[in-house]
Amino acid sequence: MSYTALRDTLRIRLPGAVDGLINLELFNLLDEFCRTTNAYREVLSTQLEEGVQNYEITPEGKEILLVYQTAHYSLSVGGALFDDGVLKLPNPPTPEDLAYPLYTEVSLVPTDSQADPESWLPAPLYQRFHQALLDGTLSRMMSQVAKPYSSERMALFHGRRFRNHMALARARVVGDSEPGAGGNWRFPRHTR
Amino acid sequence: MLDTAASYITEARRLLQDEVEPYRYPDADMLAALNQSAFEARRLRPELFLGRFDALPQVTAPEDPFLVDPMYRSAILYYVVGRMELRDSEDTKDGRASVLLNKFVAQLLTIQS
Repeated sequence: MSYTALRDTLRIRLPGAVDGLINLELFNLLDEFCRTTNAYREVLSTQLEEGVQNYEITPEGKEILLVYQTAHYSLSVGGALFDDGVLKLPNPPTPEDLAYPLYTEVSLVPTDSQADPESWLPAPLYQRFHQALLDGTLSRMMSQVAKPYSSERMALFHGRRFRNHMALARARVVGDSEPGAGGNWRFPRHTR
Repeated sequence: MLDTAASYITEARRLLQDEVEPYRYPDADMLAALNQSAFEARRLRPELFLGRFDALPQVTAPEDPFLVDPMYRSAILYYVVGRMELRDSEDTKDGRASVLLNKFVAQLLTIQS
């Protein structure tokens, strides 16, 4: 499954919808999905410069939501701070440290609605969250008023499915980031 | 193709049976109707003009482009023809104008039209 498969399915399920609006609602959905689940994670590679402690690491067209960890082969980066797109290292790199890149694991959200929709998410994530993105976009589109594809009932149906997908994605991310944390486990409902 | 004002005018004249000069409906009136259709479509389906809300397609000459999503070009055409039919002259029928203008709205808002 890819962005193309998602777009084509949405075109078929939403007769009369124009591509621009489908993409805009998909973008809005990705914003909600990524901010809620932190499911879009990447490891960024940064080339260090001698003596420089501050690095702009935010990829173009993205916003960093969380920094999980930083790692470097020789430089001690424990206690690095992240603020407003800038990673601040606790120690200045020496010439020996420049041989290796700095790795930073982050969660991201796309911010450029005008960019090619295929660039909003990496292809594997479009594949992994295909059903979630499909249900979420259908819900948003069908909840609009006075459109050929408006359907309050189906908007609720797909919205419910989307929230379930999102809960699973969130649990999976927690489970992935904290081994042994039991991301898929929940307290029984009556104890919450 | 229905992508320029001229193509809309040609098609509208065919439906209006106004293909022989001198025309009953001048080009200027057709262009005005086409421009008005953009405002009406903007009101009903703003996403047709996504990214150009402040610069809706407006034409001043037949060669000017008038671009909307291909799915909705026939709706625009029905609006132009319907608006021409609204004119108070002996060869127009109010019923036909009403049908065409309603068809424009129905095509924008519903599937079964």
